Amino acid sequence: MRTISLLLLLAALRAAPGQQLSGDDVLRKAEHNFEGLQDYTVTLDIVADIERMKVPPMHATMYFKQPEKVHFDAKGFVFLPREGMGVQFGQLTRRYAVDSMARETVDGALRYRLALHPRDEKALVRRVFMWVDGTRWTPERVLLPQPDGHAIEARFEYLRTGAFWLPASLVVSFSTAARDTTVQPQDNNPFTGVAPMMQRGAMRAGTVTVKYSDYHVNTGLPDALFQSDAEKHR
Amino acid sequence: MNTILGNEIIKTSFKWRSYISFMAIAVVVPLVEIALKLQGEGMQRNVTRGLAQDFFLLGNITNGYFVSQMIMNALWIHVPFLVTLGAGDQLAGEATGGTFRLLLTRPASRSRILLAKYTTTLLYALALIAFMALLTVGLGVILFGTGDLLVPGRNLVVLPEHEALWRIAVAFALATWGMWTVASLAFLFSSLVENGIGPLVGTMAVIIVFYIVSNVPADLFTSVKPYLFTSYLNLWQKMFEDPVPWGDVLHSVFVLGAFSIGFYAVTWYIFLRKDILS
Repeated sequence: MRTISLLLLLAALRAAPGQQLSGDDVLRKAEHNFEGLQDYTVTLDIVADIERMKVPPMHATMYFKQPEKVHFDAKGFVFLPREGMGVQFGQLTRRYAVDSMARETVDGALRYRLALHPRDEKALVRRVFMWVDGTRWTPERVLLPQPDGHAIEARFEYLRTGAFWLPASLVVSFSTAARDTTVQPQDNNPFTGVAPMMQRGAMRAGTVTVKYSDYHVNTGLPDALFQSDAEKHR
Repeated sequence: MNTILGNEIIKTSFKWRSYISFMAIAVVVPLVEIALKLQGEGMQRNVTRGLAQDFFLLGNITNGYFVSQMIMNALWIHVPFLVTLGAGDQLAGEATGGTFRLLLTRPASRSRILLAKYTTTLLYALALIAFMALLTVGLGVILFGTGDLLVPGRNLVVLPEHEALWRIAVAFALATWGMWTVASLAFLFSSLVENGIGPLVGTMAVIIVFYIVSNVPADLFTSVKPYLFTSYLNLWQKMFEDPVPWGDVLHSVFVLGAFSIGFYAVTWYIFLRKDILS
């Protein structure tokens, strides 16, 4: 009798709804979260706090259209982190394969931790960790270990916009960061030029915070908006 | 004094060699800017090579202000050379032409004549830098447009567009101040010799040797560095730091001013006692 009860208990635990989900299911749910979203326009306010970089607050407008068309407009100089801004949540299953999944509880909320790898064999980053909220199925955190041992982490916060949970803020942290963009040393004295030039490739750490506001969803953005100047003149 | 100064300015204006420096700038600046323009997006790719791997980059990065700031690096060697061309000829040119004695027979004192020639030298350097500034920025803005100013270096600095122009203007003004010290040294050498080549070679030799001495990481040279005027010639670059280190800028202005006055004082001492034979 005790054995039967134990078997029944085990069977009941296996049948728990959350436990039934596979990694692919979670990824699919995160992807389906954006179903029905055809396009959107959003204003971006960007603040970069990266060592050895002094950049004023930046502003841009982002245009997105399914399946993965993205266009940015900015008056001044703007740089946006590829990791985070570049993740198209509507293309998750096409882009990534799930290696493993674990359940975690963060502040009482269920999260799925997915270990992924890009399906594209040429992708430099070979491993991606993604935490997906177990209630609204939004990717909350993405961790990209770099080949050199450092990592880039993107954390999202969301805002309910119509029927969709869309990013309200994104904080990308670089424990290693953009390689030095040095093309010329600040001290361009021809007799001292060698030492600073050798610093090219030096790593920078810091964060880039992107605030999203003023969403306009499913307004029917034209394809021409996403064409490059070269394509337009063809 | 005004008459003597006017005469010196007219004399300098009518020498064709006074325009060699202007012609050099008139050729080099458009040549560089047009070459960069023809390079197109290649230049932007080169500039942003490191950043582009991790970031989407937006905006007109390689704009006229960026190109101007890049061309200003000619202020290390090339522009001093061009300034020296004019400054070195002020006194030595009279000796070469055999007009010194004639000049000194005028009722004006030697001090006044020397001051007029020195002022002409400074005005020459000012005109040269102003010409370079107008051509560089003007043509740069026409060819590349405007935008935020990206200053690559040990620290990557991005200056908003509304700050770029005034910072470049002040940088050129500070560069003029530095070039006045170079011109003062060439003027001093000009009082020692009787042809214009000597001051040119002498001044450039001093600048190059001082650059090397002040940048070799040896203790002996490190202790000497604060006493070399070349250590302060980079004051214009400080305008592209954020925030501008005004204390350093003022210190450099003071030191370079002291060197200019010192060079002029020595020139004056030599010139007053010089036995003019030509």
